[in-house]
Amino acid sequence: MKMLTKFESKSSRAKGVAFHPTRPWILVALHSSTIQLWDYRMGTLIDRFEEHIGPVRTVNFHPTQPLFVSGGDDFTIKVWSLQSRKCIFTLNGHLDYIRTVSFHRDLPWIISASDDQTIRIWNWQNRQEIACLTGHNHYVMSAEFHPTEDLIVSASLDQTVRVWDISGLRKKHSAPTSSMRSFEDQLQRQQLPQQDIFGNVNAIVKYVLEGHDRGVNWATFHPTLPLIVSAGDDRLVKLWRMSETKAWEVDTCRGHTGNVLCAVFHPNQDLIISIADDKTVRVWDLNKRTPVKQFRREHDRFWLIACHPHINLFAACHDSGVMVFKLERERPAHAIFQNRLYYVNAEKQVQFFDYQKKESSLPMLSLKKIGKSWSVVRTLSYNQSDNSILVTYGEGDSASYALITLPKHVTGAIEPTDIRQGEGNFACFISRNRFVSFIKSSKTLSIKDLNNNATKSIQLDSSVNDVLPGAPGKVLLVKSNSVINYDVQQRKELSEISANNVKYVSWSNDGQYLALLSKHKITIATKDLELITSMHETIRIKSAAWDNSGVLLYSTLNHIKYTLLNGDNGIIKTLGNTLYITKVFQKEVYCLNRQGQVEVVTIDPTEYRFKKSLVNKNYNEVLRIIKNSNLVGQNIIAYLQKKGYPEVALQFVQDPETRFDLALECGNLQVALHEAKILNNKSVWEKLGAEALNQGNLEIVELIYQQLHLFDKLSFLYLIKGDHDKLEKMATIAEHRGDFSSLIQTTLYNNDIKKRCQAYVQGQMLPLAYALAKSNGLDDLAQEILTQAGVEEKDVVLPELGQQVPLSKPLEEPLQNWPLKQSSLSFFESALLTGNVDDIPSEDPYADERVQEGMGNNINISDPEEEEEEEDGAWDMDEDDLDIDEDIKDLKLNDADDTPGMAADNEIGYWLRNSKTAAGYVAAGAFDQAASLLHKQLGISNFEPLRKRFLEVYQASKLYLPGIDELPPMQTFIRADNDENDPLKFLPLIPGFESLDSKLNTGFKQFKANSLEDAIQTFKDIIYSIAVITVEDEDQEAKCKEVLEVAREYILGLSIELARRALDPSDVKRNLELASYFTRTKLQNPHKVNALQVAMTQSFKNKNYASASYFADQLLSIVPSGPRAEQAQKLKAKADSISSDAVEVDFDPYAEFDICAATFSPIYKGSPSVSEALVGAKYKPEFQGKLCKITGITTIGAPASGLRIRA
Amino acid sequence: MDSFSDSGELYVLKNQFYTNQHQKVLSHSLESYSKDNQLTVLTYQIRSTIALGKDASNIIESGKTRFEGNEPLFQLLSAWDDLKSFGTDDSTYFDDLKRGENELQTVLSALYFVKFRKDIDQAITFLTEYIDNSSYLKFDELEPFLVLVQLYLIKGNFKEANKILLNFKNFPDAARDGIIYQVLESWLLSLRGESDNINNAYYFYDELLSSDFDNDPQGKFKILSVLFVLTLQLRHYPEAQELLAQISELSQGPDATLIANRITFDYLANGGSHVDELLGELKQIDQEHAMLNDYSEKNSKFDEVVAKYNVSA
Repeated sequence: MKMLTKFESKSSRAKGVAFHPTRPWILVALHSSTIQLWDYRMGTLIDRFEEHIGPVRTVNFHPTQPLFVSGGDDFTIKVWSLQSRKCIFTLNGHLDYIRTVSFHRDLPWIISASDDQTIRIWNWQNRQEIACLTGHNHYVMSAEFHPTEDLIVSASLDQTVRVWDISGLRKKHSAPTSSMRSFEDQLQRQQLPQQDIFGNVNAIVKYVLEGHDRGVNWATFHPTLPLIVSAGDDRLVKLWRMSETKAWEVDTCRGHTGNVLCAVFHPNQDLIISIADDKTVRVWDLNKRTPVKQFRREHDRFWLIACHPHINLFAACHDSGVMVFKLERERPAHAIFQNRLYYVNAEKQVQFFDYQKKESSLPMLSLKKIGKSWSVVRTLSYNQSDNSILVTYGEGDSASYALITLPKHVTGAIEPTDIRQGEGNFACFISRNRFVSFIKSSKTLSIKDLNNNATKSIQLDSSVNDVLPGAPGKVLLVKSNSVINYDVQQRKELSEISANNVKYVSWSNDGQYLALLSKHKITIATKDLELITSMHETIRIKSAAWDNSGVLLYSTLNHIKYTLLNGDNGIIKTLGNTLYITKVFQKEVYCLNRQGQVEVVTIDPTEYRFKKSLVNKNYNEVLRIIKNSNLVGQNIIAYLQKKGYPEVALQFVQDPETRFDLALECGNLQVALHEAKILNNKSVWEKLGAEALNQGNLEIVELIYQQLHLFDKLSFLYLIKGDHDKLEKMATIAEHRGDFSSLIQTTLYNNDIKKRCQAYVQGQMLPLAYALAKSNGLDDLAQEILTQAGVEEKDVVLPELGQQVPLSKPLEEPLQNWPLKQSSLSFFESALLTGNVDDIPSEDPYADERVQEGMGNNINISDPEEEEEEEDGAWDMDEDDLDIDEDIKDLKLNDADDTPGMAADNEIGYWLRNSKTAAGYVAAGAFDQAASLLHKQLGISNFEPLRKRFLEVYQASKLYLPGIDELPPMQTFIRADNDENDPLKFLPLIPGFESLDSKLNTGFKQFKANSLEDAIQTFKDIIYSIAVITVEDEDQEAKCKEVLEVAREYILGLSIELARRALDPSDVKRNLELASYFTRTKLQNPHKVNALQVAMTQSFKNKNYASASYFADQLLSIVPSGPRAEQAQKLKAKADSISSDAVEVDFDPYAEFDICAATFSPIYKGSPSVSEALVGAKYKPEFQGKLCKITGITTIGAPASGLRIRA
Repeated sequence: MDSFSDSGELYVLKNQFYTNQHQKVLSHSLESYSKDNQLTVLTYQIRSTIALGKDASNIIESGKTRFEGNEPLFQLLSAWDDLKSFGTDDSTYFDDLKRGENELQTVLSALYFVKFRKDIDQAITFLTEYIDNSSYLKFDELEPFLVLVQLYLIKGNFKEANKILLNFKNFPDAARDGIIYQVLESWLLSLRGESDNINNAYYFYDELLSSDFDNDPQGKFKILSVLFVLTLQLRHYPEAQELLAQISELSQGPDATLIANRITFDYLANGGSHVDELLGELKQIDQEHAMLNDYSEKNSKFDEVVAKYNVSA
């Protein structure tokens, strides 16, 4: 048993606490006179109530009404409204401190207990005291109504517990008009005390329970059984039983070392929980009255404990606040195998639930005897190979596991027979006949066989706190800040992800993804622990499960939510009770509740399927959902807008305004226009106009300008369109409107001189009209104007008129809409706007899931037999062994995928089908195909040097499995990726990439050691390795290419140096040239120094001082100090003093050139050259078609498509 | 007791026999078995004796007198014993057989065809005829299946081998409890690949190791050799190296298949630096080992490649 603290408040001394029956609230009565209202789930203080004077000792909610009641040392009882958060009224009457106060479950009554030695009952509707129960002769410390019967139990410092019968009171108040009592009845009652004037007896003492030796602080009824528990200053908790006629002491729970102030029954388990001022909370077995567990607090005395009416939650008041806790986790241990959910029910029995039949089995095994009573089964792992379960239970150092075989036939909860147990805080199966157990205290991980014998024991890092199930053969090690994927067999940490305090893991059905659950955070990663996304939840996360399409559904205390791999999430359903999701299938979520029962929750998965389809660009599905579901709401529209899918959002909206906005956003002018016509207001038109103008849709722009009477803009539009006719019309309109300025503007646009003149005339601007007419050669008109003005031509002095300005010629035809790039309508637009949705599948693709996924048997992939049978069809396609040579002649070499007709019959067949690289073919033994590829890709023609590499690649993936001794072994294979389960991706293991670095180093060492021939051979081997290799990714490919270059340069450089050394000593010129060229190969600096040194000394020796000085400079730029540098400096000083070259050599230190790998002579930039395809060595043109000297295998200048080594 | 009555009593013995714990098989006393099973026990003991390379003629003789009326069985066992001691010259027993009439005869004949006649196809025909002739077949006689699976796998015919495994579904559950099923399943798991399958096969053998092999080093050698293969399949090279160390501690005679696998390992872990040496060793031990055949076939294939492109170059 474990105390799990859910909430703690810090305050002054808390004396009373109460749970709200439905909401996550508690009321806390403080000694400081305040009452606090907390949300214990969120940890927030909701309100404070401060009307009592002095300490508040008690507080309680009404079970159904929004009311609560409090009582304190000011002798008053106050009733408060939760709605207005105000005190409604105060009940006065008690003459001393009030100890407890609470409501009746159905009658409008309040009961209170006081130091004035009375218990009083009040009617809170008419706010009257209706009874005052006297009899105790000391403080009454507690009093409460019975949960179902008309009884009261009270506890007093007079050392007694009393049970009172209040049926009389009920009678009196529920039937106030009832007929008179019979005479006999009245006579009989006359003898009784406490009767009122009508002879009614309010309450009679039914039993007085004596047994405590000191004052009794608390007494309470059992919720269902006729039991009472009491707590006293004699440090005892006592259990009492009552019948109709008597009550007696059953037993005593001893253990507290201080005054026991309160004791309560667990609402649904056979437990008693008590608190005392000895700073402990103790839990007792109700049936055996033995202690089960105790929890100690360092500094605080406890004052009161209250239990939640429905949920496994308790609240305890202590000196510095309250704590809300639960006893034991309530997550039912469970495991899924194939179609079944194995789980432990509330009775600690194992059951299974068949997802297909949707029914639970009978209990099949009882775990009651596993571990101590009250220890809960925490985890369960199932192994199908011997139908056994592995459970863990207990806490801390006493945590253990038990391996138990399930009965073959379910006949009811039988007792387990062969229990194999051991110490362990965690245990799970890692293969069909191995499981691991983890002991937290010693951080050891043991691998055990099914006989419970340890086969291996691993000491883990001390920071490992927990272990969680991993992929087969692996586990997840949980540290406080990270989770590690750990290969148990190799004892190797494979990968790590940072995540804080992870508690649970949920693996996706295909094992590709996992969700790590912490209290408030979900981290989603790939199976190799590469982070995909993570999210924070304010409410505690309880469980998670993946649906078949890779959506994670998870539950918090009160919601079922979903998240996509991109982090989009949302709420699916609000929960009344906390549920633990085990599996999601279509619309059904299979959960376990805290009572250990399976609940099937039906959800609407539309929203997340829709979002997922959008994210995956599965527009068919999106469309199908749009057409077939009623998925609407601001939420989804906002989502679509935010995610950049206005055109999709458009489909959900009816409201013209929103439609208009969305249409504008996605540039859909037609829809916008349609909606604008409906809306028909200015701002809408303006917006549309602006957008239409942006898009160059002049028709709509025109329409809008017309609509809005924007004549000037319209005219200008016609101008830019070159639409003369319309401009003329505009002029006419302007004339009609009498808008001269507009008219003149239009005539300007239109170059209509005549009309403009007329306008001027009409506007009495005759000089202007005349000047215009005259200057445009309209002499008649000019004359008319003159006449009209009454002046002679000679009276008018016009400036010198220049030549008429030729106006640009208007377009032949008015401009149409801007020619926009023909944008294809989006999938939605074309399908939805045209109404052509016939071809959209209307059926739910998920509906087929059952068939496709074979819900029947294959949900879990680990049934190899089933799996094989499925594949049988493909295997059948080719009866005989593949004769490689025969069958792949037709294979298209560059793309094996183009040959679907080729069925793989065995591993080699898969490899042939799936390989894309020459190395893959080599490993499959198809040397001929591999050679053909290499020939085409790289121009390889001399294969002999590759023999070793071919055989290596071929052999490295083959093994011989010994079988029956008399028979030859069977060939088996090594794959590139053992975690790959898709036969279309099976590929052979190709060695070589990992050893490239070490080979390079070997080459470098040989260089240093002056074994130049060996070094050349090593670098050639490296080239051969890369020519026949398969790598996984771009990085590796880039690395290979880089290594090829290094190898090329070293081979070239070393060959030059070897050639130089082989020269006749008299050939000084060539000697110096080769020495110089050697310095030009791209060697690593420490090696380049060697080349420079050779060149420098050779030049110096042969009196080429200028060159020697140059090489010395170069050398010094690499090695600025040390003996070599000193030598170079000396030499340079001497060389510089002469500074001339005795021998003329073909080497220009400042020119760029490649070195011909055959002639070792420069190919200056711009000179013709040919190159080789594998390493890119350069040659003079005459070497076209010759064998490359660097690689020894490729033909120079052969047509080649290039290196292809990516898998 | 389940569907076949002897399984309980013979379970341990069979496990020992099929996991090469021959000394343990021999250590059982016939009297400790029920009358019905004593002959079977003796048969396994004779086979174990032969498997250990010892002469079994004495124990066969004493068997003949003890279990009278079982002449054909002892004849068969003698023939097998002679074969192992003197080679093919002496007897024409197996050659004269037209078809197998019981489990043992069929199995031994198949082994004979492969080992001495190098005729895997005939062995397969022989076995399938026996199996298909269901009137002979009993569910507790699984050895022909075991041999057949291996023969199919030697021929690279995974499909047929796997069919046999799938066919076991039609057998009573108990058949799948048996060691033979587990062994042949482990082979197919290895061939099927993928971590999970290989691991399962691995753990099967790993578990066998927990038995006491003190007197049967050859059995332990065999299991370690298989584990070596599976470990290499899983690409756990350091573990493979450890296994090699364990194997060499057993100081069992040189084993061709182990060397063949060490060649692969050497390619993977040492860049093939000892391959020539290992090939030499292999040639000395078993000229006809599948690996050598494959090796020379691939070499000649490579010769063709060299020749083909040299001409065109």
